[in-house]
Amino acid sequence: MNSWAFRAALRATARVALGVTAVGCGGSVAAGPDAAVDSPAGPTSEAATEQDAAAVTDAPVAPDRASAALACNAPPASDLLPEALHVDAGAGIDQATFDCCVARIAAFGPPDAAVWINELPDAGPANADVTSCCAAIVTRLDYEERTMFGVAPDASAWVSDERAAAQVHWACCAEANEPEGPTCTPWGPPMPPAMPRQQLEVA
Amino acid sequence: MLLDLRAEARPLAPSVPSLPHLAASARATWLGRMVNEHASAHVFEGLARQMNAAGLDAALGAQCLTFAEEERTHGALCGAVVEALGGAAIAPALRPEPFPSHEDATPIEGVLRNVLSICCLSETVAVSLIGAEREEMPAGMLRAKLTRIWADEIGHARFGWVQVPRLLTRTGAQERRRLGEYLAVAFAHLERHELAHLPLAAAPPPEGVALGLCSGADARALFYATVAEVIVPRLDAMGLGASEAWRRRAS
Repeated sequence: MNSWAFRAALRATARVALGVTAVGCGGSVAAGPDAAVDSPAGPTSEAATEQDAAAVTDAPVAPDRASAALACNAPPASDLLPEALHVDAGAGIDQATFDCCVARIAAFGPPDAAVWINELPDAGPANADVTSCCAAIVTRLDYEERTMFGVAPDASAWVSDERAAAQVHWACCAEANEPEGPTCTPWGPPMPPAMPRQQLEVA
Repeated sequence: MLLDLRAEARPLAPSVPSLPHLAASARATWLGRMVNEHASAHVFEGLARQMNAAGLDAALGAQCLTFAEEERTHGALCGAVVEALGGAAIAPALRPEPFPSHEDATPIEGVLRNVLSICCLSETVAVSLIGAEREEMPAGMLRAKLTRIWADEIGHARFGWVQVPRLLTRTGAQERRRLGEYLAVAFAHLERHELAHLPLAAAPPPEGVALGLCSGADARALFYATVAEVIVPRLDAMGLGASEAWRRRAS
């Protein structure tokens, strides 16, 4: 995100909060707040964007480091994916399998750096567990994320797992081919919280 | 339970830039947005019911029902992007959660709690995040859809910023003090929600902006700036003790 977009968004939001609407009534945008007028980048086009599309980072692959052939006992990917047909399958991935799979996939990337898209080897006899491990990682994270705002919210498991899998999550999303993945999806307002009982007593 | 928006989404599918190496993550992003946006319809329906039950002007409840319809439309629009990217607009739905009726508060105070959480916090942050994404996205059909969503989110946030001061005139000092207490809870909930949906692992290459991919780290910075520079000062100005509530959110 460039700093101009950052400040422009913040400025627009401030105007909304101050009651200065940036849009016409009925939700139609006449022109964005400070729209293209003061954009240093000027108007852009899809063609220009295509030209700008640079090559994806090509970090070195280190398959040797994956030779530790960890037996993670992850279920076959077909038991977990597509997620739409196996909604709660992530609940069946235990911590040991998850941790083992994270280590297995992390071994394909450079140390202390994210494993990038397409760095994972094609499934074959030597890497037969890659697909199932990625499916296990993705479905467990997705399950935890979907369920942590329920009646008894508990984000700790998801936070811990997401942190542990941060370096491999993206690559596994591509491998799984139906990822929820590390994405930015906070838009819709969640259900507001109730007032906890202990807070009520304080109040 | 599955959320299947394929029938609604397919006719709306926009043309999108061809960036095959980012298609999978873009599908995931828009699928997640589809689910979250669609689920938010229940939030506004709950708010409409609560406002009506509190005896407020029926137009306010009606407006919230319009917002609910807009959230469903956003779900279909996000699903349309998934379809345009070669995916299918079908995913596990979010589990339904009960709408908080806040029985421990007066009816107006209960409404204020929810309007603060939904409109002044969540939707205001959404205006910032979507606004930044829109600023960086090149012109085209995808940006047009994003603009439509952003315009609606502005309406949802603005509803809160307009109604809260009006409703506060019907409360006493005790209720306002309790609203400050609630704000600490709401801020903690907001932070947990935003951080959960803005993972640091989301770090797409620069051309990702053309497909609506965002950097989790940058988006988190914008979230915190929105809270610190917009939300807290504005609520402080209304006498709700937001600075203190934000400071105490983790306690």
